[in-house]
Parts: sequence; structure tokens; C-alpha cells
Amino acid sequence: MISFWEVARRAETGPMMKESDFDMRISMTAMELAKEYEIKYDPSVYVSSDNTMADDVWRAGIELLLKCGVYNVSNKRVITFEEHEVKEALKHVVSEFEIGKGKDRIKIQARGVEDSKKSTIFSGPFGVETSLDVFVPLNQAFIQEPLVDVLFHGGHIQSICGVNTIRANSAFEVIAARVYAELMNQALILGGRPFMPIVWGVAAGVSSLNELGADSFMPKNPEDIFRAVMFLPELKLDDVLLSKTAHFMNYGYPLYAGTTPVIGGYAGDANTAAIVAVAEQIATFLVFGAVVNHIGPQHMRYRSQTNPASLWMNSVMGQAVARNSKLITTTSVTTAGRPGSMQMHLEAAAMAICSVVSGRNLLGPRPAQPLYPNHHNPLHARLFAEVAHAAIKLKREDANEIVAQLVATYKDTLDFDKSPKGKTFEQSYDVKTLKPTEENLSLYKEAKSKLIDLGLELA
Amino acid sequence: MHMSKEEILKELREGVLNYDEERVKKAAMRALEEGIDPFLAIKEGLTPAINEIGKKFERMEIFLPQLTIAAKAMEAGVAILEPALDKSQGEKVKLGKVVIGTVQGDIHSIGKNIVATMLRAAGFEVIDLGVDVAVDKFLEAAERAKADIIAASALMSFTKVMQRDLVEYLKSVGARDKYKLMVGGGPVNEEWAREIGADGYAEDAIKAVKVAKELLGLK
Repeated sequence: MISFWEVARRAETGPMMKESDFDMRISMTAMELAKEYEIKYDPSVYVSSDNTMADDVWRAGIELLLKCGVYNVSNKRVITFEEHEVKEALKHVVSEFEIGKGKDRIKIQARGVEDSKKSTIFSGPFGVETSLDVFVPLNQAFIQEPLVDVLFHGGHIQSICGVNTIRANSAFEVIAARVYAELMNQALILGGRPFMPIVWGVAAGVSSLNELGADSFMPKNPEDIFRAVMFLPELKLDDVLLSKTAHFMNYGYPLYAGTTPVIGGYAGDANTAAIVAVAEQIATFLVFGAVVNHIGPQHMRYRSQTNPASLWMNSVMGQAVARNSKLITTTSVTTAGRPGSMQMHLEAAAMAICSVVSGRNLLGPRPAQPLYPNHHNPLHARLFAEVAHAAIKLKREDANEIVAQLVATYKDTLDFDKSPKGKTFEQSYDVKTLKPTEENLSLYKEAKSKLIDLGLELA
Repeated sequence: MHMSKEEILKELREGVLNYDEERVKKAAMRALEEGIDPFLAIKEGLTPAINEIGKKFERMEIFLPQLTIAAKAMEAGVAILEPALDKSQGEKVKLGKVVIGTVQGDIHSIGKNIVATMLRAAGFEVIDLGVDVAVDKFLEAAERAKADIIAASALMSFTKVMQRDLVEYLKSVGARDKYKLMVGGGPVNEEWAREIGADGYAEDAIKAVKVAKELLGLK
């Protein structure tokens, strides 16, 4: 299989082109391939059952990657791949991976379409600004959710030492990174799962230095921690990402790699975005040799991932990858409805069902940007995981029917000016006992009851 | 063969609507050959077409690649017609100059590219500085271009703070009142824009055009 060192070499020597030309090359090639393979988006379908289309999207995705490559925005060079390299690499996919220690050691697996294997649940307060006073309790509340298998990031520390919003690449990023590591250790120990697997993105900044700033105080051995590396949409990376990857590889960390193809952006409509997403899914494996390969089905207009086009794209792309490879994959879920709302529960359930029957593991749920401080609620993760585990009993046709009913409840309130506003962690939980408030618990029970009425077998 | 004014205007419209740059160029040259007022050719040929493209994009009936190609076709037509405009017409065609970029520390470009494309299509002259743009580079470009608006995009919580720094920098060097300042991006909202003292905020590219026009007192 092609090594990262070879990829990095190609990033230094590949053909040069303008970034805008690369963006348009992706768009035009995806459109040509969609036409050639007759891949069409059907807005009346949320979870596809079309195996032929899934296989065509897979082939088109590989063609797209071979024709376009991956672009290094730092030096304007294209990293190209040969067909035999893709085929060879896919033979070396790790389809099962164990991580963590003791009772929290888990096996993450590649999943097939309509697979009876449970989805691994990655969750945590990722992406949300988290104040220092609730950082530990909020993470602890996620850690204490038994169905959360892997803690995903720990929330952003954005204010520290009197600096209200930490600036990218500033000294406070590095200071906050060290504090982040300290607090994450505390949360894991207090939560009773000190060796729980983590996806460790130092959520205290954006620079490479802040990643390094936390390294010496990370909770455990490198082999038990996923480090996160993300492409820029579409099929782009930069020197910072490559150098971070080199560092992570030098120290033996397993990698969690992904990207967020944007429907409406250069990826185009849902049909072409599905092709681009397959290319990206393969590319994250080729470039990073990642254990877990992630897609966030983003949408230009909605900015959340539970809209009808994202659901369809995720199902087709997911099935394409699951039917034709043994890649371990995840799909993320960002919602228009905010924490503490019925809509967030139902949006998350829709994407969980769609993803699980399409062969994915799951990450989420999280409210979409713009995010408000401390707006997270681990009860959403609980129901999300329960729904995911119930969905393994569903066929795609049944899943589509349930998802259609769920979408009907929120499709008119996906725009942020209409979607329900959220509550902070402190408003949703007793921060000392880490018990959800009565109101929060009632909402969870009501959402669960709605999902049972729709046909999900929830305990 | 002679073409009527209506036929040429239709060609200009159809060229943009069909993403056909060559067709637009030919129609624009034909307009000049047939002695059609270039201002009319832009206002009644190209502008309605790009407005329709913008609406299609807003409804997500078309996507960024089509928007980019249509805007490029429109620009090619304007480039041919513009030199033939008299001074007063030229001022009416160009709505204003916008310097746009993604702030320092942030390398996300898609949202900024869409806003730049829509502003261009609407008739603004856009100077796109790309990504990872330092505050002084925004000002230098704005001074050089004699811009009306500076537009700063940020896609991460840790980089939106650079929008605040941009306001402070402009104030510190006495340039804040010379330009209207617009901000946008995933983590940005109206509240943040107000807090840092920006003049305008838009949550998407369509609204960005509306806000830019409002800031310059245009309809």
C-alpha cells in the first residue's frame, strides 16, 4: 500500500495548478460522471435501497479521485494516484480495530448495508465553546453515558486568563491546550472511564503548536487515542495538515480522518456530492492510512446535516462504500434544532437511522454552527445511541419510511431563524449531581415515545 | 446577418442562463457592432439573466459550479461592453468595490468564494484576497483599490476573533470610517457583528449582496 511518506513526497512534486481550476475540475468531473453513470438525486427518497446506484457511485468516486487527485493548497500541487494503487490500498484496509483499555476497550468495525452489527457511537461536546467552570462536568456527563463508546473532542476552550476569545496561533492557544489536556484527564477519571477511547482533537485552537502543547499531558498511550485529521472540502489539504499527520505517525497514533463534502458548493447537487464523498472517503484512507474515515454530509444552504439532500447523499455514499470496501466509517450529525429541543432529538434520530442501515458508524449529535457557549446536552447522545442500536433491525425500505415521517416533523423549520433555540448544559442538568433536569428527562422520554410510535424497537 | 436589438438581448440572456461564455462574448460584440447602447445591453441583457441565476442558486436549483460559470460568462460580456460605456453609464454599472478575504489563521474558502461570486454577478467589483489574510492586508488592498466595502469571512470560532481585530486595526490607524465593513461565516451571527462594531452581517451570499447594496445606499 502507498505510504504516507510517498504521499508527502507527491505533495512536494506533483503537477501545479490554480486552486480555482482544481475546484472547478472536481465540479465538472463529478457532473460528467453523474451523467455517464446516470446517478440522479430523487428528493422523495431519504434512504436509498438502490444497490446498482450505490455500486455506480463507488465506481464514479474512484474515477473522480483518479482524474482529479488531492490538492495541496499550500504549494498549489496535486497529489495524484494510479488505479492499481487504489486497488492495492483497498486490499489492506483494516476492517476491525480495538482501542481503549479494560472494560472500556472496544472493537470498532466496518459495517455493511443492513448490518446486524451495532454501530460504534462517537460523541462528546465537540465544536461547542465550553466555559472552564462546566468543562469537566459537561465532559463527565458524556463519559457517564454508557452507550457512548468513544469520546469525541472535549468542547472548545475559548476564554482563558481574561482573554475572551482566544486568537488562532496566539500563546493562549497553547496555554489553553495544556489546560484542555488537564481537564480532559480529570473528566475521564471522575467519569469512571479513565481508559475510554478518545478522538483527541485539541479543541483549544487551530494551530499545530496547540496540538503539541497538549501532547506531554495526554491521558494515556498513543495507541489508545485517535488523532483527528480533516481534509478541506473538496479533496484539499495543506502543509499544516500534512505536517501534523507526520507527527502523529511518528508517534504511533491511530488516525481518524475525514471531511465534510458540501452539497451546493463545489460538490454540486446531492448526486454529484455522493460521488465526491466516495472519492474523499477513499482519499482519506490513501493519504492518511486512517483507521476511521469520516464524512459529514454538509449542506450549503442549511449548514446542518439532517436535511433531505444530506440524508439521501449519506445513504447512497454510505452504501457505496459499505458494499464495495471494508473501510471503517462514520457519519456525523449536526442539527438545526438546538440542544433541549424535540427537533434536535428527531433530526438526530433521522440521520442515525439513515446511517446505520447504510453501513456507517456514528458521530454526534451536535447543533450546527453558529454555536452558542455550553449548548450541549448528553441526553441527546443517549437517545441517538439507542436509536442507532434499534436501527440495526431495520431494512432500508422500512428505514426510509420512518425517516420520511421524521423529516416531515422538522423540514419546515430547518432554517436557523425558524429552528427551535437551545439551552445550555447548566439549564439542562444539575451540574453537581450530573442528573438531567426533570424537563430535560421528560423531553427525552417524549421523543423516545414518538420514535417507538414510528416503529422503532426502543427499550 | 442583421440581428435586432431584442434578438441580441435575448442572446446575452440565454448565454448567461446556459452557462455559455463564448455565446455571451459573441452577443456582446454583436451588440457593439449593431450600435446597441452598451448600458442597455448590460441592464436588459446580462443583468436579468444573472439575477435569475442568483435566484436559482438561492433555491438550490443550481449549485456553486453553475453559479461560477454563469458569473464568469457575465463578466466576459461586461468586459466587452464596459469600454463603450460613457462615464455616467460606467458609474451606474459598477455598484462599488469590495475587498474580500478569509481572516488570518483560517484557510476555509468556499463561503467566501460564493459571496465574491454573487457580489461580482450583482455588479460589484470584487478584489478577492484569498484566505489567511492579515488585517493590514485587508486595508492595504482597500486603499489600493479605493474600495467601498471590506468583507471578512471566518469559518472557525478561533478565527472569528480576527474580524474584531480588523475593526480595531481600522480604528487604530484612522481608517474605520473610510470603508463599510461586512462580516460573515459559520460561527458568526448578527449579535457578534454588532458586538465588534461591523456595519453589516449576512448569513448567506444572497443576503450579502442585499446588505452590500444597503450599506452603499443602493436599491
